[in-house]
Amino acid sequence: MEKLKTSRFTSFDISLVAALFAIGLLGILTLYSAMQGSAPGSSMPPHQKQLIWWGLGLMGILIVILIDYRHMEHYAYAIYACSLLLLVYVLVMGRSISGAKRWIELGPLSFQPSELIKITMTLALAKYFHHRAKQGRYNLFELVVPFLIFLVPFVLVLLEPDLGTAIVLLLVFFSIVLFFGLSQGSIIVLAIGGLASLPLGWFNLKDYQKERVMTFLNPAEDPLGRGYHIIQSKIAIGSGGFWGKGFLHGTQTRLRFLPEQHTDFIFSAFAEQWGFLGCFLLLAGYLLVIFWAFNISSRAKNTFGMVVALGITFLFFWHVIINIGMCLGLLPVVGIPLPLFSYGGSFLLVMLLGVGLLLNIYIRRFIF
Amino acid sequence: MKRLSNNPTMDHRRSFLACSFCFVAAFAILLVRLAYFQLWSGEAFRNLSENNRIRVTEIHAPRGRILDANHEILVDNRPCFDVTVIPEEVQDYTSLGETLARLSPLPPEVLNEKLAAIRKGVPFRSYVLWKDASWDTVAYLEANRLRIPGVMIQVTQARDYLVQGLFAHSIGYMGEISPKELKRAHRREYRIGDWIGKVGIEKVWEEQLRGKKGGLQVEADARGRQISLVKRKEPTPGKNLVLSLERRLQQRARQAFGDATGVAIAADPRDGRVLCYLNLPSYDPNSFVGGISRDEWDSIRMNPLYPLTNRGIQGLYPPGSIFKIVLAIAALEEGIITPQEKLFCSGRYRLGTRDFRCWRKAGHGSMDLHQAIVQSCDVYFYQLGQRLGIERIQSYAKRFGLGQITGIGLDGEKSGLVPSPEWKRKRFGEPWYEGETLIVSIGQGALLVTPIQVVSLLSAVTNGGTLFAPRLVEKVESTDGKVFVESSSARGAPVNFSSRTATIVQEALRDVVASEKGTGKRARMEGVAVAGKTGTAQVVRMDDQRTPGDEIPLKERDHAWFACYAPAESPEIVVVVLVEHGGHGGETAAPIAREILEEYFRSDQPDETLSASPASEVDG
Repeated sequence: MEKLKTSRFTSFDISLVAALFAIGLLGILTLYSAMQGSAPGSSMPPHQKQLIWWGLGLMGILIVILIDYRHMEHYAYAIYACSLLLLVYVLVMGRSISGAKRWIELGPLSFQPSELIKITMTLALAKYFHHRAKQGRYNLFELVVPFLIFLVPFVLVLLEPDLGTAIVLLLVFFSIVLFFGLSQGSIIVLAIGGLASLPLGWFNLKDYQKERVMTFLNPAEDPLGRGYHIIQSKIAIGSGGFWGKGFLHGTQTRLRFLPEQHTDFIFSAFAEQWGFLGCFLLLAGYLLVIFWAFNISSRAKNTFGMVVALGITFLFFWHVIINIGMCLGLLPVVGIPLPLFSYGGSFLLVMLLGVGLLLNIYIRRFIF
Repeated sequence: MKRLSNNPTMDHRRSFLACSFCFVAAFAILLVRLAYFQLWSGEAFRNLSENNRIRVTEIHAPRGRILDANHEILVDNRPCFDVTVIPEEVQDYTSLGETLARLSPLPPEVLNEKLAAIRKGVPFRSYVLWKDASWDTVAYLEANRLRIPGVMIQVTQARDYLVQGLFAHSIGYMGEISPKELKRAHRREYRIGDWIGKVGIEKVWEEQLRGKKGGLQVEADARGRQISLVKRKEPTPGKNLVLSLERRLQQRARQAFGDATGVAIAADPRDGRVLCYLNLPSYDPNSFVGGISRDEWDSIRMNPLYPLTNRGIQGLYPPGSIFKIVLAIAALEEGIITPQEKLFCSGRYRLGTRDFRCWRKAGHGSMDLHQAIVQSCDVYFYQLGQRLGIERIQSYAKRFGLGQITGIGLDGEKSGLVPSPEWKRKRFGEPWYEGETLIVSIGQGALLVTPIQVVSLLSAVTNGGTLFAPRLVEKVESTDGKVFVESSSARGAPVNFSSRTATIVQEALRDVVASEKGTGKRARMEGVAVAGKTGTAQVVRMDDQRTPGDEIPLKERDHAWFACYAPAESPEIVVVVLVEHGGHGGETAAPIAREILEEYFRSDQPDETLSASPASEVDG
């Protein structure tokens, strides 16, 4: 029985590894295609940089696997505190790129602590729930500490400002809380509180962020101004048809009609070249990864492992849904990259570390 | 710490199930949306992406040149630099506006208006801000290209009016197409920012001059950068116009006028070709090329002498004594007078309780038709007018083309006014008085004509009654000299009068110039017999006290007419000169007419040096 189960999961793993690498390979190819025609800079082309990050990420996976995740539980708060310090550091000392302070310079590469916090916040939350595990739903008072664990990085990230990451933190946090269950009273209080803070949040948005929301609500209002990007994205995706225009033959991509086509809108560049068929397979790959992660969570031997795996699952899920939803015009434009696909070293590294954590939990599922 | 169960995940089975459902549902939504875009509307989106990719860029056709009768170039094209803006590449409109305000000839508010409109335009199209930037501006913008993103200098063509204001009122000028014109323009041949003939020949002959735009189909990237050429269609150049006008005559007329305001028109009475069409004061059409500046526009518009008014076709003046020609013909044809019959002029003519005065206080004494025309006796023509009656006067005036446009082919021509009892009843609700008939008989009162109508009228008198529509354009040629259209003037209904009548009147007109008593003797020239008639158009009604001309304020002085033709025995040229506030026609207008005639007959032996080196003429 036990043995049969093992073999079943081993085969599951191979398809998972295949899925991960397939996504990664397609990502690199799309990145390459997205950079055609752009002026050759003095620095390394993005797809090569991305490959280096892949290498770093794979090494990271190995290191993460070697450390038993139960030891990590021990240091979870310390790790969390360290990443908070990094967030404070960028706010104070960080390099400002187009008005946002997000980066720490590491020689030729730069790193965003706001990506790291996506996982370390999950670790801290996992540790909290691990020690407070109880049956039944939580009420708001019992959630004060996890709320603070979420709130501090949330505010720091908003200050950078990095709205996309803040939204991800918010979604992951609430997904975990809802997963554990909230009492009915708490849900009502939260709903009222959320609605009441909506106008407050609106007034705190930057003008360009407000514009994006308005554009999302009515892209046709200003097709050549603010709505332009989202319309070009739809054209790119739609014109791919079933088979796609072929690798390197996407006119929208090649002629640079797409905005941010190597980061936020990389899915549109992919969809144009690979068509519905490619998109279907890519989505299937992501769903596979998400269910694999979810499965690991459901089989974790303790609450810490379960919540860590859960957090990473939600991280994947929300990133994929929001990014692709945005490219398809279903959601407002917000800077949330596509995992393992978009250009951006920090995020790739963090997601690969997440994969490492999942494998860590997965390998040790029978040990107790 | 209390552990609830061995396997923590067992407590959350329902949550796992709910999440799984959410994951699948969310992916399903994405997939449906993808299928909708890529499968259902794939074709439509593919077309859109093609439209994105292919840019059609216009290649403007070189506009046709305008040449004078001797093929001397009057209007040419020259390369010019346009300052254009590509909305997508502009980073900061406020600072752009400030930078450009320092360079632009446009007033800041107009510039800002244009920039605001451009901001809303298609992101990757280039829009012309102003044409014909100065060399300094071009140098500045090119040198600071990187600091002023979105601004580009484009080399295009601009109109070059080589003879400045000399032909302003016949050739006109061009300007940026207005929204109204854009709406009227058919077949999508114009776009915002295109230039179009606004006035004069540039406007009327726009169709021929314009040529046909060519185009480039270019694969362009999102920035509008040209990646590769897909297709190219060459533009068809506009056709050249050869005018009947002669620069030499025009220039001589201009010199003869000096500082005076007025009109000089010369035409060939045999076919209606207009040889000279000068309006003064004039303006330089080149001022409009770069988009005229507010100051310049104001100085033209607010000029008390109205340089934009095309007096030759729009100026309405009483014809004065020139109208006596019509009256004489009418009276002879109607048989109400014989050439021999003499009427007495005592200097005044009494009708009812009112005295109608002759211009000569002392009176002319007893005189026949010939003398009455030569000396321009008012009292004689009061009596002729009284005998004819207003109905017959009106009828003859209309037969000679008065009260209707001549059809010279310029925009905005006015028809003038031939008064009649019916007109007066409608206009003022008052009956016609006989006294008014007398006033009209000497060409004053409500009777209003344009100078070009006088040209037509006099031509008809000399050519046996053919009323030509004067024409300015002789030929439409291609750039390589192939003739497309050779124009001939339209003819109106012929004016019927006997050759005996014609001879009597023509002999009298000849003596107006030739005789010592003639009012037009200052038009006399050597070698060629000139015939003509003076006229004085009253500006302010003069009552009994008529003071000498020089003491009257300029604005109230009468307009001076002189209409003549030569050679008197077989007329080749009709010249009409009107000098505004020039006083007596014989004194100010006749000498100008003479100079034009001298130039014409001097050049009857074609002057080789003149037509061979137009460039040097132009520079001078």
